[in-house]
Amino acid sequence: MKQKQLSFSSPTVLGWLSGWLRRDKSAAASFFFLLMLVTFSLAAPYLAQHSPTDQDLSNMLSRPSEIHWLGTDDLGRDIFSRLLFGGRVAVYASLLAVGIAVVLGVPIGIWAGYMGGWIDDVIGRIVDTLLSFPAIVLAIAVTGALGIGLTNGMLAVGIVFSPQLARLARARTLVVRKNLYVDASRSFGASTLHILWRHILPNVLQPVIVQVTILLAAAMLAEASLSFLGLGIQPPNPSWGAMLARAYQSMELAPEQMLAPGFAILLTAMAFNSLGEALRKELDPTSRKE
Amino acid sequence: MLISMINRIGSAGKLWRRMSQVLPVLLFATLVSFGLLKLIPGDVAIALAGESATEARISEIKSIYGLDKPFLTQYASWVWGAVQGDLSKSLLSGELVATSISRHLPNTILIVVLAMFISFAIGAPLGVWAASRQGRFIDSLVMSIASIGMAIPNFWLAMMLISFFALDMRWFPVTGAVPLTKDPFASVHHAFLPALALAAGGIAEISRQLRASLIELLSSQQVRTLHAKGLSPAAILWKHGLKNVGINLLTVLTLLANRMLGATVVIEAVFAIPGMGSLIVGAALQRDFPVVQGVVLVMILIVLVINLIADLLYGLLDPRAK
Amino acid sequence: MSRNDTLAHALMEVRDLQVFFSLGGQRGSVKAVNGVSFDVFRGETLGVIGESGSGKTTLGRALVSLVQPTEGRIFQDAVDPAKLSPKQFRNHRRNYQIIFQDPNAALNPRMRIIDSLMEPLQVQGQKERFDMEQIALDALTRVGLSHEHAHRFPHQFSGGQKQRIVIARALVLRPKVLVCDEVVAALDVSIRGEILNLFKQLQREFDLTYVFITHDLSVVSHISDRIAVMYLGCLMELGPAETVSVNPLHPYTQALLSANPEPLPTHLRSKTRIMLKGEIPSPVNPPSGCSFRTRCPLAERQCEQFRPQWREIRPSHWIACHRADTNGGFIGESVLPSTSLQNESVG
Repeated sequence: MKQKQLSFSSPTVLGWLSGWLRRDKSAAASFFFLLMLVTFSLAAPYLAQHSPTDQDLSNMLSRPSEIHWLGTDDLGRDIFSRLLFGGRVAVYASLLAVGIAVVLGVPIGIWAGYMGGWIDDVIGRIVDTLLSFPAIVLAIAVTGALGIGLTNGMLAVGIVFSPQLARLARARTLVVRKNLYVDASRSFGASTLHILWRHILPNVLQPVIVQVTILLAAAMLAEASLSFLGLGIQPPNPSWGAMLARAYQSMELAPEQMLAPGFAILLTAMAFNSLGEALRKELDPTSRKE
Repeated sequence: MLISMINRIGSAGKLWRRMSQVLPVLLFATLVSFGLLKLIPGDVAIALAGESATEARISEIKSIYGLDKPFLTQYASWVWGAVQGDLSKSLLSGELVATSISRHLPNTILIVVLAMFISFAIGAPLGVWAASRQGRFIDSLVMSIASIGMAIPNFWLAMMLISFFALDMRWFPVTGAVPLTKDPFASVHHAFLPALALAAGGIAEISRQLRASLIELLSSQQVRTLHAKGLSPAAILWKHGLKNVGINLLTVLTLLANRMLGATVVIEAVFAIPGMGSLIVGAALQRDFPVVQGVVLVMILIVLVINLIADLLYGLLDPRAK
Repeated sequence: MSRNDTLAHALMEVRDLQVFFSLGGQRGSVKAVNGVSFDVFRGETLGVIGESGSGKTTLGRALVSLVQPTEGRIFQDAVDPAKLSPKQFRNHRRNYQIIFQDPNAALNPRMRIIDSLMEPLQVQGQKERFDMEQIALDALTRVGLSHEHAHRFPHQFSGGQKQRIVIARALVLRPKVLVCDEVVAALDVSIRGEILNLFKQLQREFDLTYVFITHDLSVVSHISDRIAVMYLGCLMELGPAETVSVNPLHPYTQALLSANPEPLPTHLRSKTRIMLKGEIPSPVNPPSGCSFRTRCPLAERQCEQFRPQWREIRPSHWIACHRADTNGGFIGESVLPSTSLQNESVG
């Protein structure tokens, strides 16, 4: 017969989040903007008045009106709908690319950092090489090999981003594994896995999370670039980058076409960056209160 | 002074050692470039031949690129050729890849160099200005501009620049490039807007980094005592701050150089400039793989050279560094 | 080996232990522990004293298998842990725990105390959370803290309290041997006494055997049954606490004592100090022969050529010195400058 356990709920993530957002205005702004973005993206099919791919060649490059809130593009497609669905693509693409980068990079980084030795040396060399190389070019090259398309493109971006996270994870691991409590764990008989899971990973996660927010912005920009070049999402599917590509075509006739998607990308990237900066300040151990 | 500088870079032996450290990295780089081939799903020859390929075409590809031989053999012969300057031929045009690259590379280099210059010329003063007015309006303004600069998609900025300065104001040509050797003025004229678009991120990063370094410098105890003794900020910066600030600046500049090499890919598409970017994009779209590999290899080499130069400069700035 | 108890073997037996850390390439290795042999008997407190760089911390870690012997063996309850399978090893090592010097670093700052206390049990395969909590809370009270402390984080406690928590955590597995590495060095002088008393009390309650590592002679003589003296990776002397701390036979111990006369009652303290010349050599390149010879005022030719044998000069009193004799004097020509120390000694 078990008695009631002597435990109470640890401070929840939600509690910390609301406290933080209340304190840091810019963080709150970015956070809510992104929240809005995600919500609208998910709700796109319900919010959009028209299908993003329906062409109406009698109504090309039109100004904003009651039917088309942001006007139409050069093939008569509703810009507002394309913007919404493009947002979906942006969210999906960033999450996919960064997810791959995390799954690939963090374990390798932790492993290299914990095991040390020649494995670490070799991996370190490789990672440093990959790091200085311009990501886009490699992403294009990988796309060239794998074949064009959104998923392949984001796969390429994810692979290209993973060395950054690996290096970060490794650096943190090197610091954390020297801690006495790691030795203490070993003396109880803890297996390497237990130590990695219980002690190393939680301490590594913080800088990784900060880096992830920044990488989300970069991944989104990368998707936009690839789609702009025609290597990412394929027409007629919408993406902000692809919208900019079409706007480019009609630059002389209707330069205002480039405004909507461009601002969408700009604002989202700024939101991610600002969130990342605020997170970094917040999670910095030297400024911890509790 | 020159002699002491040379001494600081180190004897020839040290240089040699540094370069030999680069060798395994170089080897790995070639492996990466060539290894991209392995990512191609399915039969490589069929994939590269394209959709309407004939049997003859497929076997032609097979023989040109030795695709029926084991991977290591292919790799070795490719590297051997590369060392001699032969990067194989384009699948589409048949032109030597090395020739294509030598035609396209200068245009890219011009834009990147110009962009770095603009970034520094605008970014540095902004950073210093913001640092000197720390906490005040100018500081916030510069920082806001910087955050926009870091987030803005550079091809969008490029489009806006074209729209305004080229199409409306007609101050600059819309597209194309002119080799520097043929007509320097026209060359720079064509390259200016692209470089400006590229420079946005650079201006942002440099101004931020410089501001941060300067602020840290100005708040250090040493500097405050010097200031109290009556030394002007400029003199302080020159004598004591240069090293630390210089190192941070060098880090940012290297980062930027590498990143711009990549970012130029998209800019070139917007401005229809025949540079490395458009070369690789075109090749990727058409699956002209030898061109892709060649471009990747050359880019890696350039990046390695940039890093090497940066290392040497670090050595100049801080002889104690590794 | 003399044995004065009924067990057929000592609880821990160290035989010719060497622990070297390679510096990579041509740079040689750090000879942290350079040939050490001794026993630890059940129920005793063995003090190990030495300067920093003597290798005592490495020795402590080797005793709990945190570091592998380069040469030699350690037998824990007649078992060589190196020969066990991973599973057996995990089960075996719960009996040999260590407490580190820095209580701040020994606790994961992100884990609540209760979780840190339960971790050893989880690692050892305990599944029932309720049982684990009970054991953990029990240990907490035994070291003088209360249940309500259990859900806090380490940074909410003082240094002394944190050290108590670390002790509690070590006790959770009911070990046989507890290696204590400089456990009061990081604490305020005012609370050292409390913590040391806690150690004594816990030893009785839990039937523990201690290996107490420190550089502080006053601490070690207060708490130990026997004292071992280490220098540059080698044992210099090992004997009953009263003898070693009052009337040591080894020149190094004598020098230590003269520099720290507090353990001795006033009338026994020597009026002259034995000054050691030079500095402690690097453990990468220890001196030939006796490792202490470069600083020993009594060093002779043989000290340079031959490493002194680790011999039982009196019953249960071991020494590594060519020149020491059983009466506390020294064989050979030159004499220790302060012979008055020997004359004033109590038998």
